[in-house]
Amino acid sequence: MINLQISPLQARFWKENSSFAWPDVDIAENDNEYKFSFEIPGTARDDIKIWMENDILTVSGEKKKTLPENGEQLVSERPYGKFERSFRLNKPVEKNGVTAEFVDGILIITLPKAVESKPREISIN
Amino acid sequence: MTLMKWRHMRDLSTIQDEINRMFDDCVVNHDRETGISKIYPASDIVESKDSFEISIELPGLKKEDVKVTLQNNMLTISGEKKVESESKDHTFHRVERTYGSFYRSFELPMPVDSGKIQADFKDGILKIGLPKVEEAKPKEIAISIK
Repeated sequence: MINLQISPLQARFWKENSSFAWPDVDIAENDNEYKFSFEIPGTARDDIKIWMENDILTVSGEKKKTLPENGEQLVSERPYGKFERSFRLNKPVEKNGVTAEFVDGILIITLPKAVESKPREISIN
Repeated sequence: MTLMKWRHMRDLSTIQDEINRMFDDCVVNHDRETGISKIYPASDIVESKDSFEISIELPGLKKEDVKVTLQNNMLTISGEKKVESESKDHTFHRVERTYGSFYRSFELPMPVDSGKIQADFKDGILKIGLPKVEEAKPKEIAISIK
């Protein structure tokens, strides 16, 4: 299971399960890995930072807005700004094997489980 | 008057639930008739002297999943956001991303040159450039004062 870690500022205002946590993420798990997929469309690869400290995975960055040079903004719905989300993993992962890719605006982080976290069949003697 | 057991913060949590529900209704676009929530891709529109530029957030979609049409000054973007097939062997702890079909139409305030519309899809952003037709562009007309 995965627990959420929330920044004190966020905690003061919203529960983490409210609609205000951003960017949206899907968290999946199978026998071998955890897979996080964040929707961060229109963000430059260099503006995203991923790091692991102990058992906490943090993704932060900034979705920058390029203002129109000589135009007028008629509609503005897309969210911009700084973001940060942290997740505590309850099972150990192979830190050196963590990979990340950014395809079509989706950041996919794959964290292979450490041997001790993988399910293991025990034979009966 | 009946005695009631004091429940600390009861009213406050009710208010919070109520507000959360209200925001959820706004953020997730519910279909009023069917009650099914739909994807409502966030869009920005910029108008310049010569053109309109619409940018729509469609993360995780491929070019083939999106259809753009223009009819009678009405620009329509539709398609489907599918769940990745490789996720089948995974158990999900959290699904915040929305999936399903979407449909959005924008009525353009003036005619555009349908032959010169350009669409570009990069990093989950669909950018559509719609050049205005000559007669729709603002013109400076010199008026001599007698």
